[in-house]
Amino acid sequence: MQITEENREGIHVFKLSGRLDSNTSPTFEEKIVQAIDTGVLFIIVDFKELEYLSSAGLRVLLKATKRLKPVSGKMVLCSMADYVREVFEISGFDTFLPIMGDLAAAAREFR
Amino acid sequence: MPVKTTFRFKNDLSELENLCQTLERFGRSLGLQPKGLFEIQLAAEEHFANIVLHGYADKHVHWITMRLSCEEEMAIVCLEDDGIPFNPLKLAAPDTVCCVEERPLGGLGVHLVKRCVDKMDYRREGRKNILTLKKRI
Repeated sequence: MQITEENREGIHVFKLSGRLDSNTSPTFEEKIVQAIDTGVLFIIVDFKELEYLSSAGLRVLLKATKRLKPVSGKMVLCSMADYVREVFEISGFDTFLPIMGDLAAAAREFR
Repeated sequence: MPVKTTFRFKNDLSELENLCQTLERFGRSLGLQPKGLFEIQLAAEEHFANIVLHGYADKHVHWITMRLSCEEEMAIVCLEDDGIPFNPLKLAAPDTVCCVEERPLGGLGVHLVKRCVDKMDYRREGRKNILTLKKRI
């Protein structure tokens, strides 16, 4: 899995490509936790190039959400394939993680 | 030449790539579409990861067997391990509506397996856990 990070108008954007599974999620976890621990409050995770996601990926996102809450941070997800989005719906993760259609829409959530 | 239908994987997460690729080939050969391919891989991965992470109290290498077949328009994936007795069908459903602070970090894998396949059967045979997953083609 490839992870690229960029800053967009003060929002930290993670772009994931490939597979986010039990094997690759520790790398993502390390990066997102590090970002939050160094003070990043606004995060977008862009799933456009992500082909696959399992519960390991969900756990990383849950961990990040729990860390952002006490510091009034916010995370928005975007650009998911239908079947990836379904994983969020089945697990109920879409009830506390906003999922937008594209990066621009995700960025607007922070205005 | 007969098509290989039985595969063995070590109880290590690094085997996931191999496992998923094997399943993708299998799924494609049956004509599964992207969504079906995704779901069958996800179900197998979640179960395999659970075996690796929770199935053994020792640090030894164990082998997990995957048997693939097709019957009456159903893709059949059978996963067999010699880990501690565990019947995923008996696991209570996780809470998917409670607020973020109360969400536990575990329990989702089995829930996803159940939702990704059409039929799931478990049996214990000797020292083996045998989980059979069936997905409509």
